[in-house]
Formats: sequence, C-alpha cells, structure tokens
Amino acid sequence: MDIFKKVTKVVNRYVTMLENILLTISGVFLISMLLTVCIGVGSRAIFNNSILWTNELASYLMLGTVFLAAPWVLRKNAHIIVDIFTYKLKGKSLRFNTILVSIIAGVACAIYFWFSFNITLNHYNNGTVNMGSFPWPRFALYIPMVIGFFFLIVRFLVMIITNLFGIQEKIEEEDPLEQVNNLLQ
Amino acid sequence: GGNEDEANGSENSNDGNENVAAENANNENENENENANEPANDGETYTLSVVLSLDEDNPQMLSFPIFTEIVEAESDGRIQIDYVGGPEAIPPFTQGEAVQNGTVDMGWVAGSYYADVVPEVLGLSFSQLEYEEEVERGSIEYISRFHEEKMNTKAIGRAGKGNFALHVGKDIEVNSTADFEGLDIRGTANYVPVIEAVGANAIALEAGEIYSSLERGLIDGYAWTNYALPELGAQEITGSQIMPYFNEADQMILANLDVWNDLPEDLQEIITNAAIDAYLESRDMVEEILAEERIEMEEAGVQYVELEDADRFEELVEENSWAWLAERVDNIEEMEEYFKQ
Amino acid sequence: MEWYTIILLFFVLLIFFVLIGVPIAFAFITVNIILSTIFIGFSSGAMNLVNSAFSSMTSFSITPIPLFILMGEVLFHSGLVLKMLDVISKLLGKLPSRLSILANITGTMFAALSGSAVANAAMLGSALTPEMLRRGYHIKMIIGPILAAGSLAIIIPPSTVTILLGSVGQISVGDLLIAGILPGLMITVMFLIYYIFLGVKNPSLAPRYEIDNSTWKERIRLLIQYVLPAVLLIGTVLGLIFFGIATPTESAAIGALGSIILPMFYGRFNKKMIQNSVLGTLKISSMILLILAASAGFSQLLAFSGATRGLISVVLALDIPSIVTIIFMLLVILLLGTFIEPMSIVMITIPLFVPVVAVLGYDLVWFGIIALICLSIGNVTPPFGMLLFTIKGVIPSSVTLKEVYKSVINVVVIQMIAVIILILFPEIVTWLPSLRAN
Ligand code: NA
Ligand code: NA
Repeated sequence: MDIFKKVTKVVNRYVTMLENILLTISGVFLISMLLTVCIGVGSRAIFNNSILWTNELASYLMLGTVFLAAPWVLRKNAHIIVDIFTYKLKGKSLRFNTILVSIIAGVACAIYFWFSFNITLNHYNNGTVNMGSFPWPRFALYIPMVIGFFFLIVRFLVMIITNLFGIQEKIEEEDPLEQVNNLLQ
Repeated sequence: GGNEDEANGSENSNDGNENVAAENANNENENENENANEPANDGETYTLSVVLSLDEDNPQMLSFPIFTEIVEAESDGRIQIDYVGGPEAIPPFTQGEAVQNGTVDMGWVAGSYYADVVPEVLGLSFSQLEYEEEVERGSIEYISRFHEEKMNTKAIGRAGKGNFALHVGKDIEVNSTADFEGLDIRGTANYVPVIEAVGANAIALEAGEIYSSLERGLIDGYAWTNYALPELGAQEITGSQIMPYFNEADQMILANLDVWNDLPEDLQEIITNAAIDAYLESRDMVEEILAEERIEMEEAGVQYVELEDADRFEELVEENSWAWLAERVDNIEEMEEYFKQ
Repeated sequence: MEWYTIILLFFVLLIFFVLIGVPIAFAFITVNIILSTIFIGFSSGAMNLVNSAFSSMTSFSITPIPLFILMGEVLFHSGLVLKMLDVISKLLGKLPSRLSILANITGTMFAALSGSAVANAAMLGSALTPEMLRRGYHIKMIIGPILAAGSLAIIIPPSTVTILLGSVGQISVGDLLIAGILPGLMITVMFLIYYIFLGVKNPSLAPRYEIDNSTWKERIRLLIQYVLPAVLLIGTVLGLIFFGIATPTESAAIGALGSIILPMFYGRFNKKMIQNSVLGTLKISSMILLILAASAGFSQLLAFSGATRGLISVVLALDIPSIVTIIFMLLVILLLGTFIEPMSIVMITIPLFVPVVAVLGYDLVWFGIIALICLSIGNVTPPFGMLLFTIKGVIPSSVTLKEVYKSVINVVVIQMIAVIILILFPEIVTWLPSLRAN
C-alpha cells in the first residue's frame, strides 16, 4: 500500500507538471491572440489593408487557450458546479460522490477525446487544408482539443484513484510558471 | 477532347453502378440485384433525414420541397423525407461532414462549405455550362467520384440555380472594375478568385454576419447570389448590386454514401431524377423571384449597376476562377472538359 | 417521440447530472452523448458533437470574451481599480448614505471595466465592507449596493454573459453591448435614489461622519490622474463599437492592450501583475468557454430532434397575447436562476427562446437585455447565487442569513421594477442601437 501511495504521488506530480506546461502554452496563446487582433487592427487602420488571417488565427488561438488550460482549471476545482445537494457531503459519502462524478465526466471526456483524435487523424491523412484566406492545416487546429480532453481524462483518473484509496494528496501549489522555468533550466 | 471524356464519364458512372450492385449483393438479398433493371420493390420503406444549409424558406432552398414531393410520390411512399433542420441544427460549415459521418442521410449544402475536403466541387461554381449540358456530359457523376473518394458522400445534383453578384454599401460607388480596388468584400472560398481578381480583399464571414458588418462599415460590400437578398436584410444596407453576374451557385444535394449504396437501384434512380426535375422546376421560379426582388429592392433604393467594362470583368472572372482552382486540384484539364464550353 | 417528451428528456437528464455534482461543462457533454446516441447514433453523433464544439469555439463572435476578461483582470491586479475607489471616495464629499453611494457609483464604473459580476462584487465588497461596518452602516446599506454593483457588471458593457447571449442567440453582439448602457445606467440611478432615500429617511442606517476635506484643486488633480484615463479607456472601447470603427473583438483587444499600458504610467506594471492577470483570465475564460463548447451540441440537438420546432409551433398556436409568452419565458429564466448560474441558463434557454421571440416579432436585442437583467436577478436569489456566495465571503459571520436575504429582496425588487419599465418602454433599450444603424 505504501508503494502504491508513492507511485500515485509520483504520477500525480508528473501529471501536474505537464498540466502546468500546457497552462503556460495556453498563456502564450492568450497573449498571442491579443497581439494578433491588434496587428489586424493596426494594419487595417494604418495601411488600409485587411490582414485576412488575423481574425482566423485569433479564434484558433482562443480554441487552444481554452482547451490547454482546461485540465489545470479542473485541478483547481474551478469548473462551475451546482452544489445545492452535494455541499453537505463529508468523508466517505463525499469521496463516493467525487468518484461517481469523475467516472461520469471522465467517460464523457474519453468519448470526446477518442472522436476528436480520429477526426484529427483523418484530417492529417487527407491533408485537409482550409480554403479561405489562409491555408490552415485542419488537423493542427484540432490538436489542442485532443490534448485538452486527454489530460482531463488523466486528471479525472487521478481523482478517482486518490479518492478510491483515500490517498490524501496535497500537491504543493507551486507557481506554475516557476515550475516550468525550473524545468527548462 | 469533349467526346472522349464524355465517354470516360459514362464509363466511370457504369463502374460506379457495378460497385453498388456488387456491394448490395454482398450485404443484402441477392434477388433484388439480379433484376436490377426492373423496379425491385423490396417492400421496405426508407426514411432519409435531410439538413439544409439555409433556412427552409430561403429561396435558395426552393428545390427541397419540390424534390420531397416528387420523391415521395414517385416512390409510392417507399422513400420518406425527414427534414431535421437548417443551420440551427447543424453548423453550416460542418454540414458536409455531417452527411459524411451519417449524422444526416442527405444535405442541401453549399459546396464552398466543404471545399477544403473536396476542392473539385468548386468546378460547379466556375462552370460555364447549363445544367442540361452538365447532366449530358456526366459532369455531376464526375464530381461525385471525388465526393465518394474523399468524403464518403454521393453528389446527387445541383440544389438550385443562381448566379453570383458583388454588392456594395450605400456610400460606395462602383462603375468599373477599377473601382473595386482596395475594397473589403465579404466572400467565402467560391468567391475569392473573383474578389481578388478585381483588386478587392476577400473577408470570409458567415451569411448571418453580412448585415451587421456592412452596417458598421467593417466591409464595403459582399458577394452573394444575385437573389435571396431580403433574407439577409440587404435592402436596408445595400447601395447597389453590380452586374454582370458571374459563376454558378454551389448548393449541392449530397447523400451519405453508405445510405446511398443501401438504397435499391430503382429508388436511387428516382432520387437522381427527382433532383434534376426539382432543379429545373425551381430554376424557372428563380427567374421570377429575381425579377420580383429587383422591383422590391429598387423601391428600397438599391441600384442595379452595369459595369462600364463588363467584358473585362467577365474575362477576369473566367481566367482567375480557373487559374485559382488549378492551384488547388490535380486534374484541372479534366475538370475543364466537364465544365467549360 | 412528441416534442414535449423530447424537451423533458433533455432537461431531466441535464438537471440530474448537474445536481449530482457533475461540473456544468461535463454535464453538458455527458447529456450530449446520451442524446446524440438516441437521435443520431453513437459514433456519427459523437463526431458531430466534436465538430460542433470546434465550430462554436472558432466563431468570431466569442473572441472578445477572453480579451475583455483580460482587460478587467489587469485593471484589478494592477491595483488601479482600488486607487480609483479611493479617489472617487474623496470626490464624493458629504452625502447621505455616502458609502452606499460610493459603492454604487464605483460599482457602475467598474462594471464598465469588467465583464464579471463576481469580480466586481468581490472587489467592492472586500474594499468597502470593513469601512462601512466601522462607520456603523446597517447591513442593508452594505449588502444591497455591493450586490447591485455585481449585477450591473452583467448589464453594462463589456459583459461576458452579454457576448455569450448574442453568440448563442445569434443576436448582434455589438448591438447588445451598446443596448446595455442605458438600462444599466437607469438601474444605477434607481439604486442611488433608493439608498439616498433610505439614508435621509432613517439616518441611523447610514450614520454621517467627518471626512478629510481635500481642496478642490487636489480633487481635480486626482480625478485627472486616476479616473480620467480609465474613463477614456471605457469611452474608447465603447466608442469604437458604437461608431462601427472596430468589431467587438478588436475593441476588446484595444481595451486589453490599453489596460496593460495604463499601469506602466503609474509604475504598477510588473511581471507578477501580468502573470496573475493572465492566470485569472485563463481560469475564467477556460471555464466559461468550455461550457460554451459543450452546450453548442446541446442546443443543436434540441433543434435536430424537432423539439425546438415543436415548441415554436405550439407557442404560435396558443391563444394568448404574445407578451404573456415573453413574460413566461422570463419567469423560466428567473426560476432557473434560483439554482443555476447565469451563463448556463443562457446556454439552456436562449436557443429555445430566441426563435420563438423572433417569430412573435419582438426585437431580439430588447429581449436579450431584459433576459440579462433577469439573469442578474438570478445571481442574487437564494439558494444558489454566485453573488450571494461572494457576499458571504466578505461580510462578518455575525451577520445572519435572514439579514442577508432581507437585503437581497431590495435588490431583486428594484431590478424587477426595471424589467417592467423596459417592457413598457422598450425604446430605452432599442434607442442607442438604432442610432448606431444610422
Ligand atoms: Na460589464
Ligand atoms: Na440564484
């Protein structure tokens, strides 16, 4: 049992680290999105030419921002929950509820993951390219969704295991950017 | 060259039919296929769900109720058409994939919405032929091959008649091709070569965003069919419709290939013919709608402007449309034989 | 299946998963999978759902959301907002119900800088509550204005819920944002009148106190230094949308960029501030937009299954005045508001309601704004109200729940009166957007 706890702890630490890397990329996407739209405005105002790809790039960056940050938001317990029936739960019944909810949501995410993965693969194999103003490779646009759903599944799994075996897992809440910095050094 | 390819086309379509027969033989009862030429009434009823890319009452969708009536009557009720909805039920840009993966059995879908998967479909937009001629040459069958290979759908026929037109806002005057220089014009893939040819910038917006974008001056004009303007609320914001009109509407009737192959051959034939008849019947109505709409629009202050250098515009359209397509498909000569005069 | 059976199935399933504690976004995708399996088939249905999620997330109408959130976050984390509160407090001088009015006015200003009701209420609550309690203010005079400030954030642009409502209901986002200005100001004035009236009628509710009287010269200097730049930023963002110079997305980007540049002039720009703002933005945006991505499939399935058309045809056949139908829809929003938060209600009801409103011939922008006020009412009604939770977090625990609920009643009543006024005088909503059109 001791070894099991240790393994869970290590796995949890690595999953957390990966989530933080995704979060950092998500932050970079957010800032890039801001700059992209500003470049679009600037080029329209100053040079009077429309940069057609900026609108599209901004929305694809937003898609990336949302899905890459989603696993971290789940870890932070910040997804909106209506807890008028569940807020009183404590101890065993709380653990049971968490496991039940994680199984339901985890299975749903797994289905979304599997099909978004397949769609991405199809677009990759067919070499689908957007026909609009800029030839975006379609498969690349779907990747953040695939990654996001994958790490949501992983986080739900960690939640199921830690609650199932009553592992009190407190992750030291490191500054995610610091952690990525340390990792890079 | 035209004749040779006509032959190719019909050969290929025969191949297609043989494949259908072979598959049916494997899957279902063999009796049906042994008498493939007789109406094989297996007594089964087929319900086909349909999605439309525009609202049901949009004139561009005119052929749908006609098609439904013909099919249900001709098949003695063996085919039932089940309309599941328009853009609110499936996002327009994903409707091609919805037919592909079997979410719906059929769709009245704009080719440019899925042209990134099957760029060949834009040949129908740049076509210089009347529909009768296309049917004769087997152009639709030819285009369907790419639909079958690349997106598991059967292209049954054109969904409706229409030409395209460029439109500009109230404060903008366009009298010659040169006046388009630098304007921002809304247009999806099928319009891009023309918009770029006249020196304007193409901006891809959904149909639903045209009104508010033009109203705010974010775009100077928009490309659209030369009719079905009131459905955009266009009479309030449009200064003029610019002529000559160009290219062909790209609304297609698609069916999921598996669903199509499961249909007995006589029903396939009924559907194919109904699609042609519905197109021809709605084509005459489009002329009327266009005339009536023009009166309505002119009363609302919209002008109909013929370009001074109309010849040059038409030249640009032809050259650029096909040159643009040539960069996106592998078989441009073959395509030209099916769609050029 | 009859359309009402289908609608019932949709909502019973959704509410079941929501109530057992599945986060809203995941409850939506769970229900989507079940329903699309029923109406479409498992694998083609699931592929369709993934494409819907992708398609809704790449829609250009929602790209302003993270940018507006970023703008609000930077202004809060840089401390500029607190500084403004301080300055406006100095400007107010001696007034009856002084601190309540301060909360109200700054609440309105911050509502125009931020799209988040919770952020607005939390910031004002934690900044002003200690001072209000110290000055012997009655709890009614504390909770009311802070809840009001939170509610205004939804109505006064920029507002995340407004953008979502426009995007889900396919109503012009620019028109909706602009249309929120007058009703928002109207509600502010109603609150102001109410709290001044309370303070005058019963001074013990809001005891007057001596304040440091700064000179007018000093006040004007502070005004120009700390309030004017923010007002200019708001004016720029709204002006760009109003005059059609930029799309809501572009205005939001300009606003966000402005909010990042602004702290540089006050020496408040640093790495920590930017990092906290970005993290805050990521948290809220991801949470909100994941729900949007998940619920897109839900509303499309409602249409696909025939439920939407069934409902519309029945409503049209009903022999009741159409305004009764509208009021019924608003009551549904209010009822759901007692236990679900505003964004999810938008996702659940708007796809069903807006087609009906359109067929009945009402102005969609008008309906949207009234729906927004009803949503912001839901935010403060027990048992579940994001703003209630926020308030509980910032007031001392000695305050009883009964007292809190009593203060909530005032806020609800005033906003209900606003709804009635807007139903009687729709021009208050439609006038500004109509100016835009010309
Ligand atoms: Na706001
Ligand atoms: Na509530």
